[in-house]
Amino acid sequence: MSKCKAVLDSQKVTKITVKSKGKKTREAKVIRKSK
Amino acid sequence: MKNQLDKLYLELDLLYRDIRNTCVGCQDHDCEGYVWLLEEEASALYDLNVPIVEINESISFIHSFEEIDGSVRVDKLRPPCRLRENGLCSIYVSRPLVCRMYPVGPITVNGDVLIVLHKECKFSRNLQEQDKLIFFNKISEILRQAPDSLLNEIMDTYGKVDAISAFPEGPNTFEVIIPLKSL
Repeated sequence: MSKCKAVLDSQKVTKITVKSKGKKTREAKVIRKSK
Repeated sequence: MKNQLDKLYLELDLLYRDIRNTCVGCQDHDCEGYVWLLEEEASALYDLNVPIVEINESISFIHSFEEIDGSVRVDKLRPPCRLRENGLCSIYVSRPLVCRMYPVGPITVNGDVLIVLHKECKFSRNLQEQDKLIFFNKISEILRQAPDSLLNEIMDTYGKVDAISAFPEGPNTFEVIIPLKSL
């Protein structure tokens, strides 16, 4: 359970890596502006 | 470390064994937010086919991030956990520490990591003063029994999470149980 109101600061996120077993690990771009 | 973490899991599960009775009818937000993971939790959940997002090559989260055309949004407020199915946790027996501890969790205040009781929770609000003291003592005792290496890992990991976090809606409401470094 988590109900924390925290988000991540997109300016402090420099690299995102998405890992899923059986799939190729990929680097993703950060969306820096809220839509 | 895995055995030590399993022991902590077990102690927390025993502490919260009756919490579902309190959770009935709860209208608070649930299973939302960015769920950070200890290193061994990320490794174990990855092996269970849970998608993991690693930030800045140092912090792992359950992948509940919004993706748009392969890009990842990190500032969506309260993203719902993708592992919740029909109102239940699909990895309940393997759920990570941050989920097992809630409504208890770490918070950083003036550089110190504190173990706190979050107030946006029916269980917390229902605790009467005397029961709260007993609960605080139990949580403190459980954490005191954990080895320093595990407590340091929790403190270090949370410190990294906190360093990249923001609170656009203002801080969480909480009550301090004990500073982590005093355990």
